[in-house]
Formats: sequence, structure tokens, C-alpha cells
Amino acid sequence: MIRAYPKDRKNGFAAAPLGALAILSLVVGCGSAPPPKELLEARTAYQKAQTGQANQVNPAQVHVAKGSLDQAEKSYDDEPGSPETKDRAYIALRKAQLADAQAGMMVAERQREQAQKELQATQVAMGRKTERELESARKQLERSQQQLEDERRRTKEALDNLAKMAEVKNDNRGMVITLSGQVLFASGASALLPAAMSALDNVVTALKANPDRSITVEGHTDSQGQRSFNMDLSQKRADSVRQYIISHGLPPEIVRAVGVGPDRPVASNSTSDGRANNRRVEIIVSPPERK
Amino acid sequence: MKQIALTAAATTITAWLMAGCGSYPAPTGRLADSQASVRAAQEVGAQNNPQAALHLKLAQEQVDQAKALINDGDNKRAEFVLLRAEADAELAVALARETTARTEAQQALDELKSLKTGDKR
Repeated sequence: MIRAYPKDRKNGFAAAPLGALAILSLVVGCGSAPPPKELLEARTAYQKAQTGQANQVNPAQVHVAKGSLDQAEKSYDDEPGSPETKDRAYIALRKAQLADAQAGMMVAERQREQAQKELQATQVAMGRKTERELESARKQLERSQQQLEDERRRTKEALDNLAKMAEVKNDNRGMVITLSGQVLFASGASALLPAAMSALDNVVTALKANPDRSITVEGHTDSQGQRSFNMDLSQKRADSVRQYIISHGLPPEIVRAVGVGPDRPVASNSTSDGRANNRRVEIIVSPPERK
Repeated sequence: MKQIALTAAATTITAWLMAGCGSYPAPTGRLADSQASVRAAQEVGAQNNPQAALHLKLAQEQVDQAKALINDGDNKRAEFVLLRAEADAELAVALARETTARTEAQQALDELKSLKTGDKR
């Protein structure tokens, strides 16, 4: 068992280890059996338990394993080759493995508890989120219903107001709003009068609710004066009206302006009342064209 | 009748002599404990888990070995073998429980993960 130091070693300190080995050999007893496989395994297993997670989560069982290992070591010291030494080492090995397995179980149980707690919290949070989303959707719906209601009311008011200052009728072209030229323009001019603007504001409000309609603005004159002047004036007036209503929110692509001049009188041009009726702007709102 | 009684007595005496002057009592309590531990391991399903099943099998074999030793009158050896059996049975219980706990933890984690993934949908 005892390996002698090489004889050629001349250093002084070689004597110290030699002495220690001599004492050790006396304690262990000359020719003592090497540690049984079980003891070596028990030492390794205990080392693992003692340095691993078992020592943190399961110290009591690690302590038990230590007691077992101590007994096995003592047995090995006292009667190295006996079957009891092997038995004690075997038991010590199992106790160390037990400490490890129990620790593994404890850690897994903690993980499960943690995950379940988080699961529950997430479910509660998701429930709250769903509630919030429902509530928000409900409010959104209420708001859109209110908006729709407001819009209907505004459209109706606008049409009512419009009826006071313009003639509104339906014919085969659609809804025709006829505004008197006197309300809209100064004589011979194409710039809108202030009074015209409130009338056109009502037109815009009423038509905004139906943005898919197509709108034609027609300028009309009486037959007095030069025809080319009247044609030009009616076009400019129709353009003015178109410009106003598109700048107040109607989509430009649905609004067309046409100068008709004196060609389509609605009354006789021989009386001043008749001529006044013929000087007008018609706004024709047609249903959307079918494709 | 008398003959049988005599034979029984002779056998008992022989066993006593073999065990060494009857100095070591049969470890009946230890045997019961070991058998209880083996049953406990079976109840937690140690046979369904390879590692635990190995230790359960070792425990059963050692219990059988100890019974044979008691029959032969070697009570001292039997006691140690039973201690080994008990240590194996206890380990089988712990290994089976560890596996169950790990499986349950993984299930909870998977559930949590799928819930969180679903939440992001």
C-alpha cells in the first residue's frame, strides 16, 4: 500500500511526507483493504449533494446522508474488509442520492407553484383585459350611434333651413336645389354674396351625409344681354358655387360645374319677375351611378 | 407426533447453533419496515419510472435475500441487507415523486406559455 519515496531524493523536506505516511500506515493498519466501490460512490454522491441544490433546498436530508457516510467511513476504519462496511457505504450512497432526488422534487414543486400562480394571474389579467375591451367597444358603439344620430339631425336641420331660402324638389334628375341668383350674386358678378354662403353651408351640410352622390352645379341666366356674356357668366357662377362647396368639405371629384346661360328658362323672360326666376343656380344631386 | 416435535426441536437448535449461540435476534421489525417501504414505492408508481423501478427491484431482491438469510439463521447479515433494501425503497419513492413533480411543473409551464402566446394573437 505504502509507496516509498524515490531513494535518490535528497531534499530535506522529503523526510516530512515520509514520516506522515508512516504514521498514516500505522493508523490505517498495514495491508488494509482499499475502499470498497460502494464507499467511493458514496463519497462522490455525498459531494454532489453537498455542493449542489440539495444543500440549499434539502439540508436536513444532506445532513442525514453525512451521518450515514460518517458511519461508513468509521466502519471502513475499524473493519475495512467487512461486508458491513460495504452495506453501510451502500446505504450512505442511497441516502445521498435520496437527498438529491428529494431536492429535485422540491425544486420542481416550487416551479409548478410559481407557474400556476403566474397562470392564475395571467388569466385574471386576461379577463380584465377582455372586460376592458368589451367596455371600450360598447362605448365606441354608443359614440358612433350618437354620431349617426347627430348627423341625421344636422342633415334634417340643414334641409329644413335650405327649404327656407331655396326651392328643393325632386325630378327625374334627382334632388334639385334651386337658389335664386339674387341671393347668391350681385348683378353681373360671379363673386358669392355673404348671404349666399349660409345658404351654401346648408347645402354642404345636407350633402355631406351622402358623399357617394354626384352633384352638378348649373348656372342659369335670363336672356337679356349678349349670349356669350351670359354663357360665360353662368359658367363662372357655377364655378364659384362649386369652389365654395368643395372648399367646405365635399369631395371635388363628385362635383361638376356647368354654365347653361339663357338656354333653359323656367319662366318667361318678358317680365321682370320671370327674368328674376330664370337667374338662378341649380344644384342637382343624382343618385350614385350604377356600374 | 413425538417424532415430529423432536425433529422440530433439533432443527431449531441447529439453527441457533449456526447463528452463533442465539446471540442475534431475527430482525422481524426491520423486515416489516422494509416490506412496508417496498409497498410504498409500488403505491407511488415506482415501477413505471426506469430509475425508480431499478431501485424498487433492488429493494425487493434484498428483502428476498434477507428472508433467506433469516431462514439460514444469519440474522446479523439479514439486518444489514434489510437496511439496504429500505434505503433502495426510499430512494425509489423519492425518484418516482421527483418524476411526477417534474412532469407537473412542465405541464404548468407549457400551459402558461400557450396562454401567453395565445394572448399575443
